[in-house]
Amino acid sequence: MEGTNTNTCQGRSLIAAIRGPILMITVGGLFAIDHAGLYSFSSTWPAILIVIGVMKLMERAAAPRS
Amino acid sequence: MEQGNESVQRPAGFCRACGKRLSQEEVREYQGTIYCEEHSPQQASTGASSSGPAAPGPARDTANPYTAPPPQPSAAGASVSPGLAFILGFIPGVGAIYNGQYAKGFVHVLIAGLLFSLSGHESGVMEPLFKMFIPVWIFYMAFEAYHTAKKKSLGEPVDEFSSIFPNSGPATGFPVLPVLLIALGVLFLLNNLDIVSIRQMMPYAGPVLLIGLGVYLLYARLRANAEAAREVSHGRN
Repeated sequence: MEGTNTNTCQGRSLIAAIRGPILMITVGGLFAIDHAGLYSFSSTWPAILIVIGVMKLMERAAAPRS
Repeated sequence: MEQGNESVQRPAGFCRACGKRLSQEEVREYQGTIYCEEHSPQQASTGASSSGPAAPGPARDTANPYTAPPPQPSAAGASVSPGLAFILGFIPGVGAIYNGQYAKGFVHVLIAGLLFSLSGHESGVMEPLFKMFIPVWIFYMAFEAYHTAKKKSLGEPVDEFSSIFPNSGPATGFPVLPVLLIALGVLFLLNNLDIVSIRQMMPYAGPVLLIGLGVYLLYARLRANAEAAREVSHGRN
């Protein structure tokens, strides 16, 4: 799957590659906020949904218009 | 037999399976990895085509397990059974995992868990709706796993996220899944941070859904129109 992505478009594969790390950073940040006592993770988890959606949009923007 | 000659000249590479030095003409490349002649997976699959990737030959058993050749993605799809996928599909996420779609399995589990937690007592007005969604979702997962496994066993290519949503690529063009994800995320975030509660927004849910559906249909219709016009102009040229 990744191989075909790199063949078709460079930008899309790059965004697909950084998807995992960015999700990790998001989850880590939310847990840090949880530990700092600002907001609990049970109330900030929708931020993960937003991040996934934004990355999907970026992936779509990077894809070639055919 | 030509060990003496080989050790003198510089090797072109080493076999990934057995670590043997290889000269330029002995190198067998398979999916970007160097193998010697007897450990090349291409050679093995053509030699014993009846035994699939699940049953490695005796030569590969003796090799180092850490450097075993990578599984062949094309042949792996043939070994899924639709019936088993259907049964496993009743457990949230397991059907998709059985089909090798790990991210989709994760999404299935996430949605099932969301439905279960939303059908709890604090959801208020929407509680019956969420409770009705639970069996629908469970049956959806089972049938989805069945159809994906059937597609896979027929040898059709199966995407990681195929058929969770209609894969609206360039055909419709409207980013349904991202917009839906962002909207849901904003909604729940506002609710959880006590800015606007979902219960307050519930009266607006129906109208907003109708407006959203209308905008989406309008977009799809206009887009299809433009596509058709472009097709016609291309045909004339």
